[in-house]
Amino acid sequence: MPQRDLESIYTAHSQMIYWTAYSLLRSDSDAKDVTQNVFLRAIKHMGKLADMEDGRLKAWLYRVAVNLALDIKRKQKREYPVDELPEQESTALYDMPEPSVITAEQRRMVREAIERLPDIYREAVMLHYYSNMSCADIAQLTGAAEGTVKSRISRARIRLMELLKEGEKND
Amino acid sequence: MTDNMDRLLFDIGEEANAQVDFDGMYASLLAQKANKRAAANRRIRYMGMAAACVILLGIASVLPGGLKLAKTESEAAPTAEAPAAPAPMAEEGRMADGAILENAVANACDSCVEEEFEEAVAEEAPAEEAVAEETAAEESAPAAGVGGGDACLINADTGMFEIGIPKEGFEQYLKDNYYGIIVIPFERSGIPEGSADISVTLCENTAVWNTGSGVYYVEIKAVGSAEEFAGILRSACQ
Repeated sequence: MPQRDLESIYTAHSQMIYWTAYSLLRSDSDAKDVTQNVFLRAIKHMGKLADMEDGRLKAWLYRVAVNLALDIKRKQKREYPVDELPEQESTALYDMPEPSVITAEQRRMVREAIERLPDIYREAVMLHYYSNMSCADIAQLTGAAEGTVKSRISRARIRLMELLKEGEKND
Repeated sequence: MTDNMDRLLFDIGEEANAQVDFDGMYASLLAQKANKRAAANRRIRYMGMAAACVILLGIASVLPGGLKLAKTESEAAPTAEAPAAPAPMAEEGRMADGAILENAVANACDSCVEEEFEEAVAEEAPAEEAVAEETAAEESAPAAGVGGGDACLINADTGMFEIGIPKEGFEQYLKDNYYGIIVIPFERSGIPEGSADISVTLCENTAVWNTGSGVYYVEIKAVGSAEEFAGILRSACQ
């Protein structure tokens, strides 16, 4: 198996796999374990994966990552919030400043808030903003409708904006 | 507002990625791959050495009798110096047994070595037979399964094994009877088109299992061949 094939697949998809695992496990070490194991399995099936169409390959990698992450989750028997974010009937206009003026502390708050989001919202946010995937790609990967993905990202974004607003008030 | 939020979140994403050592993970992955290959090569060497030892022991056990039989056939009468020898017919029987033992050991060890070699080579070269079998299984399999309705097949590198249809309690049966199995059901939705909806991992072999009657991801921790594993799974099937 040419090392180049593994390298190109790793370069293209390692971020997606890592953040998929992280969004489920919220642990860097666990997410790394999952990423490693996904690619070890990919190595075993490289003869088939090398010729696979991009979308199918990505879906295969994603599915293996989710399964492995769920495996760890079950073994650890962690409790994670499964609630939904309420749909915002009106968008409270918050004068969102430029990112450059956002303090490091506020950025840390936002990162922590992302980690506290319910699974499906956190996954959508991480795949979109951390792995640079489009809503259409995320929809294809996760099996959700594109509109649903957009809705999840939108609700998560509003929640994060509220947190930033609260944070400013408290300062 | 939204644009600024987007920019902030993308910035945060970039910072998060910068904190993850993706290059280090890749290096570790290559090291693990090399270690697995080295371990597989060591197993082949040890199997060969073990086979050679057994053969030598087998030969050694019959050699004194063999030499004595040759002397008996070539000389008219035994000499005074020759030690007392058992009857020639008995010696021939021992030689035949030894030859059978030697052949049996050689054949068994050859197949073991060959299987280990195939496993090691399969890591590097595309497993064309397995791919062809899996492709044929996928192409011929209806959504409900292959082999006459919902029959399950394990498609391992060493062959195709039919095990039947998992019956109710399959997961619990495996957990109760086969130590080290991790059975994780995963959702049928989202599985790539054409892929099996059950993945069976057997030690160093990964098998793809087509079925329409259940979705499980099973990982075997103990050492075993795909055929042995298929035998275990058959008892849990209809």
